[in-house]
Amino acid sequence: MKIKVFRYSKDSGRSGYDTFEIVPVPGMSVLGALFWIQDRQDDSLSFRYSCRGAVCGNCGMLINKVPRLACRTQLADLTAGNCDIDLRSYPALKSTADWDIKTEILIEPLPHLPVIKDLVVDMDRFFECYRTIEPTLKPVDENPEHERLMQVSKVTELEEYTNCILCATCVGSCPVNGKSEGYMGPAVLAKLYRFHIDPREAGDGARLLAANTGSGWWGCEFHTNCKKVCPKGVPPNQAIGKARQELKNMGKAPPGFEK
Amino acid sequence: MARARTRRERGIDYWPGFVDALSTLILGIIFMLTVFVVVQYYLSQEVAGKDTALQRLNAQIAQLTELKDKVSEIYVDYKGSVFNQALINTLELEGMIEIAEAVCLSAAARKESRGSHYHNDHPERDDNNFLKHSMVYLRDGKAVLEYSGVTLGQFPVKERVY
Repeated sequence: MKIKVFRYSKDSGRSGYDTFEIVPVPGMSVLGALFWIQDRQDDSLSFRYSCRGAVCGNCGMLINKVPRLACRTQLADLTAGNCDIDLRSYPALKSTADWDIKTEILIEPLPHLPVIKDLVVDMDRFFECYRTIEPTLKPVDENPEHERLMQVSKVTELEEYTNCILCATCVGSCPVNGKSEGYMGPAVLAKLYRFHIDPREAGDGARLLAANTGSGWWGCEFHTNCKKVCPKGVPPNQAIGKARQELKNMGKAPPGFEK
Repeated sequence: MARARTRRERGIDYWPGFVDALSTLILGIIFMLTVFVVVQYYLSQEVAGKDTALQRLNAQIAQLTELKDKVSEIYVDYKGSVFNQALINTLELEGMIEIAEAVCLSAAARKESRGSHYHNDHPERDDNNFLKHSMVYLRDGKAVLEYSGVTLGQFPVKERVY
């Protein structure tokens, strides 16, 4: 099996693709294949990973032109076409390499983030934006005497968004993130909405107003790529839609977005 | 002939009873022997098992020393300055071998079972001798095992059983 990997090195200034021939074993993931290459063929290959089990969100990359977690993507599924995802197209998905989908697996860094080395991207921009929304619980009552109890239905509603592991595959799949650097992106907005609906917070709309701009809620174009690629099934588009509706109901939608 | 027949009829014939008693005795002895053999088999296995556990640990410590020598000969070809995972993996391997040595050394000396540390010879926790931290130091290139005291909190220490 052939694996075509994007390579970039600041030292040599080289940017291009290398093709590796690997011997797949049953159950081998894309991450496993990368380890195989690193161990046996080219130890200069770099990629991020940690948990190997779709929990840490480190190994997000563009696999066969779809942003995915390398550890959660099976080689067999890719060759059998079991995990094809139909995405709304954007420039990063356009063919940059000579690639035969039938015989090769194409692995590239996550789009919309600067490449540091090979498949490693600079996540700083993503996490700096994440920090600006203050992603920590801000409870109304500072020191309750007992633990704060929540209704099960509320917890289920929250879990849809707390499942996010901040892997940024949604950012790599979002056409808006591709064209405007300032856009907060699906993951950050989904997380912001999660705090808005948290019953332990004030729920006074302050969370909604924190992204009440064209680079926040109103930047989304509802391509829904984010939901399709999310390895944890988080629906950021749904959160953004609900937030917009609530802002409209509050009469707080910015000029030009009232309708 | 007639005299002989009458004598046989009158005398007490104790042979069948004697054979009965004897065979019962032999059966009993064989049964006891079987029990002994079975007990001895399991006991010897138990004792041998204990030996192999400690032997295995000591063999591992010897193996690690061997690996340490080999690791010192590793040469990293790739000289990249950014995200050089060949270098990172080599440094981590050195660290892992040192940690493995520390774990084996303290496990072999800790003659008790505690948490995830299970010792075949000593399945019980021993607070009298081992309520202390194992500390392994690298002194002149050799791993040295020492102990340090445990700061106890407000809760009494006891075995955790589920």
